[in-house]
Amino acid sequence: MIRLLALIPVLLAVSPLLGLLGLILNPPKDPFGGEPASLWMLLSDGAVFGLLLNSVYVALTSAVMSVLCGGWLAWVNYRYQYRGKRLLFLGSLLVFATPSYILAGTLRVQMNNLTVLPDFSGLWASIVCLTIVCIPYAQVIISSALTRLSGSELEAAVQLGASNRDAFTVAIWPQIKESVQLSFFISFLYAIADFGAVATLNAPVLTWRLYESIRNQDLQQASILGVLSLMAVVPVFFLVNRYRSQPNRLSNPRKVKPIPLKGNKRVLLYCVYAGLIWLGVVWPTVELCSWVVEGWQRGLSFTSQWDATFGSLVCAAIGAFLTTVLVIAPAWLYVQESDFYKNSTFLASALPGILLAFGLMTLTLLITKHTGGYHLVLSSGVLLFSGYAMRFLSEGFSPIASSMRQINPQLSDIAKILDRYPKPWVKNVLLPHIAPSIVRAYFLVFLACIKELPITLLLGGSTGLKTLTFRTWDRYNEALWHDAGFSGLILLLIAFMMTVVTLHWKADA
Amino acid sequence: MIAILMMLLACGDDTQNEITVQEKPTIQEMSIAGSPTIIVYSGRGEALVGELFTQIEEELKVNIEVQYGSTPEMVTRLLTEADQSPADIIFAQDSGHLGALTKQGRLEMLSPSILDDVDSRFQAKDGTWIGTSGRLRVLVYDSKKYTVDQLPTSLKDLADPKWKGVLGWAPSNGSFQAHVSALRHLWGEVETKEWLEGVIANEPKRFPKNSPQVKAVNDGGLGIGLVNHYYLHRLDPNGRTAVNYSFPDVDGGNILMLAGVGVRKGSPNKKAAEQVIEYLVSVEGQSHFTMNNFEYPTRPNVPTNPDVPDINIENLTHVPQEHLADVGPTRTLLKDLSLQ
Repeated sequence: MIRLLALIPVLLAVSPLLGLLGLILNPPKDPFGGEPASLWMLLSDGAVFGLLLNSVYVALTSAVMSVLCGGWLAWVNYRYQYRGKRLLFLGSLLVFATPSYILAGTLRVQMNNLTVLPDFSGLWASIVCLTIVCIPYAQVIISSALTRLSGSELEAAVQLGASNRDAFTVAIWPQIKESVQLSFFISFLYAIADFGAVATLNAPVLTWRLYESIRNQDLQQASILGVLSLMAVVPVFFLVNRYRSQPNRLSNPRKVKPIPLKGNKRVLLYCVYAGLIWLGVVWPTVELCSWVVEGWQRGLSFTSQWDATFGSLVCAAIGAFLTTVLVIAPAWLYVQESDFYKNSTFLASALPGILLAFGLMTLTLLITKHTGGYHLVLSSGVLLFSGYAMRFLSEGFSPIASSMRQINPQLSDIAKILDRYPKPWVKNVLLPHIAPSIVRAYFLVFLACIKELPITLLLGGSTGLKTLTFRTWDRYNEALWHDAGFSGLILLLIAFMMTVVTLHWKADA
Repeated sequence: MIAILMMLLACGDDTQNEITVQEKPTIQEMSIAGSPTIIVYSGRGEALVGELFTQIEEELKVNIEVQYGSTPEMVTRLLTEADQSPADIIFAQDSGHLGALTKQGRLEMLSPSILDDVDSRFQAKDGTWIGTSGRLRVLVYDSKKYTVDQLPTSLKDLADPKWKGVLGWAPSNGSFQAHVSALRHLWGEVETKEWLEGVIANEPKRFPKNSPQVKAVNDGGLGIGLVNHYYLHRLDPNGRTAVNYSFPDVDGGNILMLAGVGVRKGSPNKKAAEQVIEYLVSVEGQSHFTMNNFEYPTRPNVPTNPDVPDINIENLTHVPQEHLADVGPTRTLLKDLSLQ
């Protein structure tokens, strides 16, 4: 049964690839009569490989930096006590709510106002933006692993005279290594598939060329570029799998008692938090507010955002629910058996949303050509929510899988001996243990879905739902800044509330 | 409303309007029997046309489901879906894409009664699509830095080294591509390429689209920019320093770019779809484009927004619409020049 359940997300993840294969083999005609580029032409085009290298460079650097920064923040949050701890942690997670193109656009404007700095554009600027966007992923996933650690080993190591560094290396690192790897991988996938930030900052990367192909109605070329992008992910897959770790499996972890943070470390921490919250939350919020205030002062009319708020909440809630539910079975099998389940569920996350949506749409068209009912499938929302699930499976997978890996296998053996397996074991052991991670996974996917645009536009139009991201994009495109700012601010508010609720729930759990 | 319609129609050529009024149903009479749901693939944003479609739903008692996206994406979607597409109407931001759909045989012929509403220059030769509104290609300039006398009289002058480092453009934008397609046919391939190379040598600042250019000019960060006219009017008129300038020489600088609609070939709701289109080119529909969007009407005798200067169509560069759809070679050219 569990294998069957695990197969669903695996098949879902593979399905857009089948659709893309269909597009490569049987591309729609170029309406402008252009000759489609052959695979050979693309492969022999040095520029494509240059873009691919740039993509890998941007994704790797952003992932490493976000894991270093996010991991450190998670560790400090776990180990130390300092003033404003919860507020700062919460504030830094709000970066999740800022769409990457708004973050990039705002930073570009603000940075360029500081005339001492070089023009904020290109690869380095993209790395800065994507690092900021990805830091919360590392924070959430790594702190999720840290909260399930037993403090006993760490405290014992410190009492035996080990330095903080040695204590971390011996007692903590082996336990969180898996989460660090997963957060690195998620950040890498996010950065390699991102389009919003790189387009705003004019960074020459593969997704830019891919979107250009779609703009030029060359879906065949876009598909080939998408496959190249996937190929760039494969070595990272292997690398992450090679260094897969086996954490200690604890049955009853005791929380570590935080110690006061002093001296330079405290100054550094406040600087990092200030930088992150300022760049990722305050600047974009101030910019959005200024758009709204300007519109209000000019007496411009604001579009009602009730429908878009409702649409966003519905899309994100269903998308996150479906994704989180789908992730549980493959995460369990990954922990118990094989990397296959992780690799396959992560596969679709490397594809930019627009390509994933076209792949899914093409596959559906191929099927409904024989069965009929294309519009019914589209308007029911099945494709939209499947698209969300495929795109964000990896984000739900990581926190749940890493918490499952920390469950002591002896518990299930005991449950079997006592004939309390599987139902009582699942109810009394598994679920209570992984519940905080399920909430975190839901939170991560919810915020990812609420910000998502290309899949929502292409596959969600038929459902009649309008979302806040759509409104922001639509108004931003038409230079109606006041309306774009208004919907963007509501988006931030929802994300803020989600963050508060999730953290509050964690405190109660 | 009928009275207003009659009055507005009466402003034009008397004889023609008399016939039009007698032959055509009023807006109320246009109510669509059976209320089918008309599906529109709109490459035009909700901000531009959302309110108008709500108005049409109320007036014609019809359900309209508008699905938004960028024009290239919606056209790609239509082509990918082919015969399975649920779309009845395709509403494109630029006529080039509509022309391309015509070439692919994806659009139905529109009824002559609709085509008659609009200037013949603003529709497909074969009647498969019709222009709903126009955006003029202009030069937006910073009035703090330049006076009109200092500005170029022809688009060709932008290749002059005098403009080095002060120009902005958005070469990946659809309007720019359509503009270059027009230039290829007006000037020829060689001259167009030389002009583009000349402008590139002036190191223009590249923007992803038009609106940030206009904002950059207004904020003083850019001297001049090649854009569509209507973004300027979204800025606060108080203290606005950016000003639009239409090239006086009729040699390709002052072209009206059309947004337009067509009915998908095989649409089961063709009649109802045509009634929706008829509304878009009615005086009410056109007034929405002019007053709310600051665009130019394609129907004669519809007043423009007071903030938008009137234009005389005869003084604009006229480009046959089919040339704007010849985007394939334009893209190759732009790619060769690393502009794509």
